[in-house]
Amino acid sequence: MRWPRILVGLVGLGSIVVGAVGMYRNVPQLLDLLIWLAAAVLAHEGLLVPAELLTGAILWRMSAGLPRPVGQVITGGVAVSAVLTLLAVPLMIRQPVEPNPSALPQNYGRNLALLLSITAIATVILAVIAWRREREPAGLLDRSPENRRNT
Amino acid sequence: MSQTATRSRLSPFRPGAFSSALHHPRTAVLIGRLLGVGVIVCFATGLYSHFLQNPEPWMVFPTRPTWLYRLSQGMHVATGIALIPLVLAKLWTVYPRLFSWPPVRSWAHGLERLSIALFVPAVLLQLFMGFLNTMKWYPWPFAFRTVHFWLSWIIIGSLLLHIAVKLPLISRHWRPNGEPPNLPHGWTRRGFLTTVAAATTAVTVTTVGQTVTPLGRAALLAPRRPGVGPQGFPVNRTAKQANVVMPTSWRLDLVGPMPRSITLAQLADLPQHEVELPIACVDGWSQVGRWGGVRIKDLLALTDAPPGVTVRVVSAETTGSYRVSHLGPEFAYDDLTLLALRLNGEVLHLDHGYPARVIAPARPGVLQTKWVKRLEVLP
Repeated sequence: MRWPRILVGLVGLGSIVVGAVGMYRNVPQLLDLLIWLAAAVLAHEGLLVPAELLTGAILWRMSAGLPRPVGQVITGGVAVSAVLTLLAVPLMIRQPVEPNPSALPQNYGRNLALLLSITAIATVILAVIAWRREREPAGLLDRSPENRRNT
Repeated sequence: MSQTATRSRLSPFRPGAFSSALHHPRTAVLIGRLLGVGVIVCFATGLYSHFLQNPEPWMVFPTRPTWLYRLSQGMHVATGIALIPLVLAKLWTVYPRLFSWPPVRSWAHGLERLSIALFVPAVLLQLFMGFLNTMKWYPWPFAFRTVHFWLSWIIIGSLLLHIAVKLPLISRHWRPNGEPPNLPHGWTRRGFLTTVAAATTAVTVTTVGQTVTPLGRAALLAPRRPGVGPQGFPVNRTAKQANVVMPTSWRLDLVGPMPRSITLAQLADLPQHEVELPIACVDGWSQVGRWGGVRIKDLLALTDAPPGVTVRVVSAETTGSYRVSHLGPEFAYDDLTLLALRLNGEVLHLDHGYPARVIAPARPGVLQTKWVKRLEVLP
């Protein structure tokens, strides 16, 4: 596996060089580009991921008394809602200033509210199903951590 | 380890700072495989679109199936959008490694961190720029297409380098292989992956209808909707945006061995053809229309053009990078390539290029030049 590995690595390094040289030759605003790249990383690693970790920690702490599958459904519902919101926000910002009537033709705020409602309803339904499944007799007889492990 | 043992309980550099068993190579491999496929799809479809717009002189493009570009660019944008939750999940999984200490342990580790230092910023900016481009929003001071194109080389390169460095780890965890059991609380691996799948499905279902027309009603977060626009068809750039006004007198100039200048009435007297072809925009939306008009090759015959020529199409637009397009011989002599005068049986709306626009199979919408006023036969 040694030589294929080195070959793939070299092709990768070659593509990086192609991209870097192409960028250097064709983009006059290199400093701006570097600032945007740095901003992308800072926004993600410095804001978004800490927010994800914090939200996750809070949600899991809040659902500590609930059966684990219920906690998973709730946390999952929040994650899906967050991703949908992430997509909708730029659409909502841009829509009012778009001069072309057939571009961004929708009311994205209303659409997002609709999607979040659907997600919330689905989350509640799945949480109730998970809750009831946990309370079935088999679950009551044996509540050992091994048996409750949901994999 | 005495140094790390003294770190604050809140320090991310502390061993065990991230408790979840999901920050584990098996999760990273499961998501990474999908991510790798997605990046390759975006790269390949992106190159195809790039070369259609910036062809090398020797390049010849397929014209069938007529929906080839529609499929390719639809996949480019849909995959790019699906990559958003996947990238977020993958980077969440490996986030603790950002704080690995010491920063560089060996040559291989240094290469790995280099590949990641390139991949992460590039892929984050690429997805952000790509998504904003689908809504024609350009808040950055550099050219979108240029940066998007060259970034893709850095992304594919750093991904290959990353895979090469990590190959032993990837193959060890390709199949389940002694992962630590799930902790008694928090996510299970299955729960986490199900959530990632749900988020990816959610963003896809709410956007892909801009090109998969039957799902149009579900496209609640798509920048376009099929059927919305003049004559039930979206417009990429309106006449107003292109500074084009309704022409009072219009003639089509044919520049070739026997130059001609023909009126709209003369054009209507030439043999008319109807074709069903999609407009497939680079921004990822597409819709099929029934176009009526004159074959480009019939117009070429009027000027006594020799076979196998390239045609330069010039629009009445005065500015913009898509004022001029080129039809290579494979497109110019295709029976389906028209100078269209009608859309779905009606005279073209001004926003769709009245009085005449080009429509050809398997081409990006931006090359289906509108408001055509001159066709030049190139030697």
